[in-house]
Amino acid sequence: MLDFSRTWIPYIYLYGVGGGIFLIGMFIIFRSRSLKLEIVRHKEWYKILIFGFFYYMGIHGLFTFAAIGETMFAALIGLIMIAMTANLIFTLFKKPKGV
Amino acid sequence: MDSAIQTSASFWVIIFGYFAVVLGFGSFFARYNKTTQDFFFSGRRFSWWLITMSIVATGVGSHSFLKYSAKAYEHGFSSTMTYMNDWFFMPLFLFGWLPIVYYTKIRSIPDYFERRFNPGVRILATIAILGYMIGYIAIGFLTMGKTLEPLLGIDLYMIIFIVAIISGIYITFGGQTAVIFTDLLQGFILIFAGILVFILGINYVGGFDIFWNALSPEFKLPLANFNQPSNFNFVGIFWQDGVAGSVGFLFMNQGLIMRFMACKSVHEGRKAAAFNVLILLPICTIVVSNAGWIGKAISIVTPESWNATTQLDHVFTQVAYLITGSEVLFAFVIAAVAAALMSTVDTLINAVAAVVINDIYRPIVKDKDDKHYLKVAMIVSAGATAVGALSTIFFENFPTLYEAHGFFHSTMTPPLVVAIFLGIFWKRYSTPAAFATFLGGAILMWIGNKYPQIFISPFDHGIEFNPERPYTYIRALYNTLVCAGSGVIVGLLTTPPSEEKMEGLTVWSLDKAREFFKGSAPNDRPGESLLAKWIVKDCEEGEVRFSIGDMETMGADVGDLVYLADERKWLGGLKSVHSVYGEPHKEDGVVYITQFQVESGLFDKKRKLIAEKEL
Repeated sequence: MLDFSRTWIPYIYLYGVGGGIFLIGMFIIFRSRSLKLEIVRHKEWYKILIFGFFYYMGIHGLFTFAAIGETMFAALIGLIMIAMTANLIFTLFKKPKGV
Repeated sequence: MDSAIQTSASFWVIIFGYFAVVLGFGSFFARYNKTTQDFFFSGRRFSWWLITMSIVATGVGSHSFLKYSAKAYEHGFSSTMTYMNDWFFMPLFLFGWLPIVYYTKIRSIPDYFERRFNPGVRILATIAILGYMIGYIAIGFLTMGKTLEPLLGIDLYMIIFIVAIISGIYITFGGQTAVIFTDLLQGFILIFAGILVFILGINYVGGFDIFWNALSPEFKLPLANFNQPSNFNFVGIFWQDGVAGSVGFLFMNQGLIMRFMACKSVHEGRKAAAFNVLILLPICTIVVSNAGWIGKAISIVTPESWNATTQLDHVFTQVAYLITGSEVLFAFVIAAVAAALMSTVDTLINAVAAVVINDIYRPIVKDKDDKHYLKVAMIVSAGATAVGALSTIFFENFPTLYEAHGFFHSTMTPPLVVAIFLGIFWKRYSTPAAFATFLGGAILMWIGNKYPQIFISPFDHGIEFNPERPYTYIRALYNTLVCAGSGVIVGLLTTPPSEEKMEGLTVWSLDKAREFFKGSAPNDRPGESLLAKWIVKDCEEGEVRFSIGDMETMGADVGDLVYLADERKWLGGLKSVHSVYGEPHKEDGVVYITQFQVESGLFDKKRKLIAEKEL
């Protein structure tokens, strides 16, 4: 039987420290006006960046649950990821084109 | 030799036939190299999908199949960690470094250092980056040697010598366009081959259920044990690969940067990078690791068919030999690994040539025509191949390629990564601070390497001290901190550089960078691309002319930048040019271009052009 520290501590560290790096990055590109939400394309990129973070969290979560035999949780995360991906694709294709 | 894999003549016919196809493919596209700009950057003309596939072949390097299969066999699904931790730095890459390198039109990463700091820092950066790339080339050659060693039964260095000659020939004559197109082909091949191994492997063990149930829960966890064992633990690999490696690969791999600079626009570069990390990397991690998982399942389900003495770096070759069941398929899989080797090495050799020509040769030998520099670039490519092959000696002593690569990343990347990062994102980061990062950081890294139990152990997160190979991975954290610390302390104590000197070179002044790129204020008015017939007419040099209506559709003004490409999108921009809008005419759906532009873009008479405003 795998204990919590073997199963989830690396996950928490990865998305805790990695999440901190990601947030600092987002803060810098907002603060520097490198990413401007008033530009249509940039708004799409903002969504993609946020999506990417949760997408990887989902993949690692899904495989962790699958490995420890929690298939219901794994399936649930899989469904959430499919829904997120569908939503992102729909949003990207729905938006009018712009610079 | 841990295994005696027998091969016949037909096996080698397939392998060499594959190499001949690759050489021919690269040579065909070499005809697009007319200038050093083409040789190194392919004229900044390609679509995102073409670049992203060629990045796959570069990223999924030759070392990947062997090193990840070895760790996958030993430690399970956590071998995927390396490919699944790149997203954290994407905001800074997509909206920081990528637009800076693209808009400032830097010719190499050291070139950025001269503009941001001074020529002295450029020299330090040149040394660091050449060391990094030559080391990478060496690991590539060593991998190829280890792949073929069980098959050929001849000396490792003889194999490396032969492979180096073959690789050197086509990169020397091909240049970046050849590299991109060869990598495009090889990207598809290696993904296909990796998936093929997985499917055949699952079939070999008796189906997915048997495969899944044979493996222990711990083996199937996607992240390794937090801090043990010392040769493969989560926290060490996070800092070595997730931080130093990912940033190193994204931000300081000259070969990768050159790929993004070959994109037709920054937006296309962003799409290439995002698609690569979100879609292709998760696929690639299965592609490169699955042989190890399959090998473990075989060793449990049918232990009699598994050679228990197989060296870890030979797991991939052993598994491929067992599961393919036919020499033709086995030859194809080995050829795919050769493809990966060529893709990694060719990109880096081309990048070394770019750095040597632009950062060393051009400043010394000035005012020569472009043909001269192109010729020297080819000679340098050949030389880089030779030096890379010789440098394999330094990595031969590591137990596995994974550990060799891990140590290499932990040691080589931190100074340059920190200097790039602080240079882009911190306005106070001055020239003395950059010197401190390189020199002070190097000294502190050396001290840490000499006395790891005193200096690195405070950061070890409980990882056991291995006296033979102390802190192979977690040393990346120490090295990064001492380089960053040296730079930050000196940066805080010295006068910050003036805003004017840094214009366009930091994330805080990207609008200026866009202005430099265009030569005037960018035009962000929304517009659409359009299809137009082309007619050769005399225009002002470097200009094309559209009708007033067409310019309105595109949201363009006179003086804006325009990109024209053959209407066949599947060409990915191979036939295209960048230009400037001239004074409008009155014929809607027609663009006037010069004969020179027709020749540069290799436009066909019967084909229309897609036009889109850039800036």
